[in-house]
Amino acid sequence: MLLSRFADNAFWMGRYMERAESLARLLMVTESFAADQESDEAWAPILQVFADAEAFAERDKPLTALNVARFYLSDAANANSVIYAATMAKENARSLRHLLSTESWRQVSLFQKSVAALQKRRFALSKMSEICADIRDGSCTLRGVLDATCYRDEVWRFQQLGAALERADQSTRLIDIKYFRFDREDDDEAAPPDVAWWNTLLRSASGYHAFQRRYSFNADPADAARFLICDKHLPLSVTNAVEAACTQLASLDEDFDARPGPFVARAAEALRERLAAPPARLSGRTLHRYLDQIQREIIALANALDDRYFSPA
Amino acid sequence: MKKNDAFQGYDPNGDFCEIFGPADGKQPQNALAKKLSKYNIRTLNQRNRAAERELHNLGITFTVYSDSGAIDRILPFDPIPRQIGQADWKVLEKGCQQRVQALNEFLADVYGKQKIFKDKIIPKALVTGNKNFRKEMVGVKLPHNTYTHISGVDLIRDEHGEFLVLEDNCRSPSGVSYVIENRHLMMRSFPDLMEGVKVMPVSDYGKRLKGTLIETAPARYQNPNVALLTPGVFNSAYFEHVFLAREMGVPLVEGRDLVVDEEDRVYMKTISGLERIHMIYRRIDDAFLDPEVFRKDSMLGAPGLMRSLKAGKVAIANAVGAGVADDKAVYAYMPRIIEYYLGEEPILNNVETWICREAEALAYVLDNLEDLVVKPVGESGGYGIVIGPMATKAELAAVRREIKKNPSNYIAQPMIRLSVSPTLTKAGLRPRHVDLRPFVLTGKEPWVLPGGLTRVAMREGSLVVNSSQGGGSKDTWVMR
Repeated sequence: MLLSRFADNAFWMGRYMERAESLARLLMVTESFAADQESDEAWAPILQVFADAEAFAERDKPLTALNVARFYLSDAANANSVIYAATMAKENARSLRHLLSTESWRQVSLFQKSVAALQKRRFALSKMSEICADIRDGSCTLRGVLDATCYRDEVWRFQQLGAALERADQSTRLIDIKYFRFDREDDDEAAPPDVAWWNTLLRSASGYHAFQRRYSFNADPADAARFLICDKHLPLSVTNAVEAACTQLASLDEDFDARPGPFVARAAEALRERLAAPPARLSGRTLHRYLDQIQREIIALANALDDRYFSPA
Repeated sequence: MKKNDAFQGYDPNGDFCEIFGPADGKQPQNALAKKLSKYNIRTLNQRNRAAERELHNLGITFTVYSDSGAIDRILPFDPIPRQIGQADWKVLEKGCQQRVQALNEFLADVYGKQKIFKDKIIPKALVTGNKNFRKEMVGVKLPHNTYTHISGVDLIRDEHGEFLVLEDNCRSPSGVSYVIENRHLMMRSFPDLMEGVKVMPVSDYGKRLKGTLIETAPARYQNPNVALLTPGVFNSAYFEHVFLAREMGVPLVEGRDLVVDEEDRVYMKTISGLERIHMIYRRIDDAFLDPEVFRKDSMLGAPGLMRSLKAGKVAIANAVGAGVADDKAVYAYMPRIIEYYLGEEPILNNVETWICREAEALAYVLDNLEDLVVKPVGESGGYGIVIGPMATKAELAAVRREIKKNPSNYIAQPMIRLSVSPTLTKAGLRPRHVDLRPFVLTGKEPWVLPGGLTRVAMREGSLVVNSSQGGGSKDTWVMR
């Protein structure tokens, strides 16, 4: 039977791997918009979505696109940076090494090494999208190697569970980057993001073409939001991620005699119900509040998992 | 030799060579040498760099922690294998078995009836006063009387080609993961070199180790659960712990994963509650094993392990207190210990050793200090050693004073020219000094892994093979 500590390591290995990739996607979206606007302002929202404004200010650097990009790519002291996530994925994997395939450890190591190499480089903003695409590809390769070589035991289940929850969480943040401001403003419809922004978002979530097939050509932004949150078949949608998490919980129960118990089950069910019943109008403040509720429920589920599996009395 | 021959310029310079034999002897026809001489040095170096990169990527590394984070380093790898012929191996195998058997009988005796003291073979104070002697183990019975389940016998080969024992390792000898990984690396990176040669396999070590541990678990448990206890990812040998846990298919636990209940049973904390452990292969020192008995501040062990051990509800390998047998002071008595318990002559000789607590030996040591290697007992890792031929006058005078003050604390040995083995350098194949550590597993009977860790001093002329001082390792081929 798997040690609680290893379940914890596997869960966080999954979360951090996913976080590194999500951050790269988020930076790609921001970069492609900032390039149009020719201003550094486009970069400020990321700091708010991650509640990092203070941490960034401590670095005492001007709020320029390049500085924010570096903060999220290669600042090892920033817990929301790609390098931090890649390193933590590797350190969690290190504790699990004897339970992982040798191919997995090799790839986790190579991925971390490729991201760490960025710290030594003084990259220009023009290189950002290429760098982010490389990170995404590296992460996808890593996932592929895990998928092809890992034994489907409890370690795999927890790793996939962590990745799924992180994916759900990060997908809400990716959308919220243009909506969190509705929290403060009175006007519900203050300059909603345009179609171009949604298209970029769909592309960064690898969902643009699927969206075109699924919806008619005159789809509106609310459809895009619904697609990214509620579509069952889009790998990066919140619903798909949550369903993936529930599949792993079911397997832990049925195949490994590690019953999730009432608190985990209740938290998972609440999240599912929330996703099954989105508000009629997915825009403006309503959308932001909805995303916020989903995030809270993800946190509640993660806490329930911690109590049940990772922190035994 | 023709031009471009990889051996061009190779000269053992009076040392015994592992491929060509004694300096004054005839060079035997060696199949490996013939094969090697056909290689281009640049190609060999290129392939070796690729092989080392692969070691790094596979994480066959030891980790150094600094302020800037974790740095994974590899043990430098030399692709030119060290060969041991079948006839030599038969002697080594028997010799190691005999030695480990004697070590186990000695340990069972000093923690049991203590006959060896009554028969005045070895001074009692030297053993029971040793810092590695654990009085808590006196009177504790262990399955099969096995104390040193996993042993490493450090051997060197002198200028005549005789294998001599330099040191015994009865605590947590490390390095076996390199023995196996070096072989895997050779098969991947130099398949052409291995083609057609009959080398004894080393890859079933994990299975053998698990078998040994199951055999020495408390007999009352039919299907004992085995775990490997590691200090954690910060330990420099962590890769080896990963490797062995993986090869055996057992959990790699830390002290914080374990609990001992009021009935002295050991459990680990799993996602489905507590699960019983019956056998622990520990890779942490005695002192850190159980804060109830040893160091109170230990965060690495688990409180209650000694209780459980004494109640016969768990077994621990190697046994607590086994370290007393690999002390340098006891080493000097090993030939007498072997004769006492087994009634046999030692098959493998010690390096000649003068025990300074004996008057005659002390006089000899003081007279010949500048030619001898002086070692303090009770230390390991080369600490406090004075090499006479290389020491300054002041250093010699200082050690002379120390020996006179406390003779029991010292042994002395002659300076031995370690044998050399062809080793890859930028300039071509060159002689470099090597040692050998075979690994011995003991359940009911001792078994020797056909191979061993060959460490090589990568620097020209250096006799120090330790990894901390630029040593590397080689694959060790025991020929069928």
